[in-house]
Amino acid sequence: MSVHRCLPALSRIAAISFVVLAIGPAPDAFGSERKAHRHGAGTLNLAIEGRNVEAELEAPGADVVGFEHAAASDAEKQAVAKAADQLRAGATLFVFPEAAGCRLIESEVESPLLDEKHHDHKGSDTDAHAEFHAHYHFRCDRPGQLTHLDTTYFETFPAAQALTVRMITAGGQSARQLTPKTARLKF
Amino acid sequence: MTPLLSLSCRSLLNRRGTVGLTVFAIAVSVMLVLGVERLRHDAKSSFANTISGTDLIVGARSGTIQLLLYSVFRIGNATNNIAWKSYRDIAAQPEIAWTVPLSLGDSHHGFRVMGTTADYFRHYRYGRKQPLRFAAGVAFEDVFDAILGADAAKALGYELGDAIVVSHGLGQTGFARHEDKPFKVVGILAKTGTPVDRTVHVSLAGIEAIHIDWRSGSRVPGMTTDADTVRQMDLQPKAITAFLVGTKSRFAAFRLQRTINEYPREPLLAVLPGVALQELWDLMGTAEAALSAISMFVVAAGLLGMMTMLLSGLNERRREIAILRSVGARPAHVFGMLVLEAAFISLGGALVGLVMLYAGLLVAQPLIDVQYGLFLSIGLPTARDLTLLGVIFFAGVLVGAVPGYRAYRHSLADGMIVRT
Repeated sequence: MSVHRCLPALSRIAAISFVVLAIGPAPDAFGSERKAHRHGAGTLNLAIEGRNVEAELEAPGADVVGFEHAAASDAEKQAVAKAADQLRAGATLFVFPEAAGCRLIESEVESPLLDEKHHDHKGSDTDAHAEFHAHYHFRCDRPGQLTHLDTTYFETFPAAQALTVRMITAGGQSARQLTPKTARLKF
Repeated sequence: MTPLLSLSCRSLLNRRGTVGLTVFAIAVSVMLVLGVERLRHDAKSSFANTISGTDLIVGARSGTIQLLLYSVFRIGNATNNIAWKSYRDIAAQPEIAWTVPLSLGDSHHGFRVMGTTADYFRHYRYGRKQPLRFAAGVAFEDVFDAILGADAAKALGYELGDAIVVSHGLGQTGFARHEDKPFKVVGILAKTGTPVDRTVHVSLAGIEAIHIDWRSGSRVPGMTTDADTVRQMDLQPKAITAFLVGTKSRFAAFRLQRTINEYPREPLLAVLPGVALQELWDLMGTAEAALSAISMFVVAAGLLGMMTMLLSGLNERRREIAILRSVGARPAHVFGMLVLEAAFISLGGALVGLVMLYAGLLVAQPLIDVQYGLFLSIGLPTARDLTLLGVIFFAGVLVGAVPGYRAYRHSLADGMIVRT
């Protein structure tokens, strides 16, 4: 092959390479997935010890009721009260395998949004981090059958995108990410 | 089929120089892929086995992973210390079953020196909640007693009763050495396969004692307190680097974590080691994926090399192929012969690569173990390894189809036309 014919071919290869490089994956292609869910993400702490299962849910107000300021209108107040009831219903929110025979012994819900006193806010009190805290205590008759936990959290609160679970079981500590598509937590 | 097999085989043998190199290129890529895979797996399990049975690790407020790395893996350094008062204050919480203080920052011939209490040997667990065992000697009693990890003892050739001098800071040689107050080796731990093996353990009081005549990192000239006087002094440290916590119940770990993170008197950070480890995986996942991707590309390069060799071979073998055709070989036979050649080469590459991997592992295992504290397993190939080999082999056969097709199309014409 003569030089005349070879050079254009080379330059074409070079041009194609540049185009491929330019449209190739952007540098932040990795890792962006983890950051993307910062909003709309709650956390669930779960500990299983013998027959006792203790859980602690922290959900952003935005996920649960759609706002994070003190409820002003009647509609907002109703939304907060309804959400609190839904959160308190731990046995609906967290479904253990039937065989394990778990029942909810105690549940409580706290939130600055529920607090009437927060109405007279002093300017900065509209903190953008108003959350719901819920605490649950289950007791299971056959803890050996505790293989997994299904949560209806995402169906109950459609705005919620993810739930970061940190759990401590006989197998040690671990962290998991639940999403509307993967709402089952395997132990 | 059989004549085709022997034909391919002989044809390859006839060109053993180039074929050998191609097999070697594929073998190297196979070794790389399997090696990376093994390294990934073993590094992960060795990390995961380093700490168990500890519910919380507490340090000065920094990053979760940073705290885990310096307190457990002895990688990196603490940004700040914890005041002794804060430590005692937190340790007195009713939900805490035990605490083990850690004090880091000095070294001995490149091995980290860690100040702690005898509780460390009682409560620290690794792997499946295995406790630390003494291969020789006992836990410390005196201020200047030291207990060596298995690798530290082996690498430095120490035995019970030997004296060691601790260097200030983490330098290999260290300008500042605590020569006036040597430690005595009273115990050597059994091998654990964790960073404990590479640690020199001394008592907290010992760390305090060697720094008595020191101010802000260097010796105060003319000030020398001898070891016996030091023993009489109050050696309670003013600060520690971190501490490990065992809680009475599992759920208490969450509550305590919050309490500690909101500790009003000092910015502290409490982490759940298992959760922090997982965060570390997530972080390393990117690097792991990149490593795997690179090794897969190396395999692709190896296979492309094979294709190049076969394609350029076609040119040299114009006559050979034309003769085959003229004696009755059909185009399909020529195609089959080339694909078979590719199959032989990739199979050879895979097998040689496997042999090279095991040879490499045998050589590298002790070196990596001593140097990095990472124990590589030399087991049978895993299911994943075999799948990878299968994929590589299959890809090789597919690649062989390209020159095969070319020969199939042009075999007769190519051989007959006289080129100038």
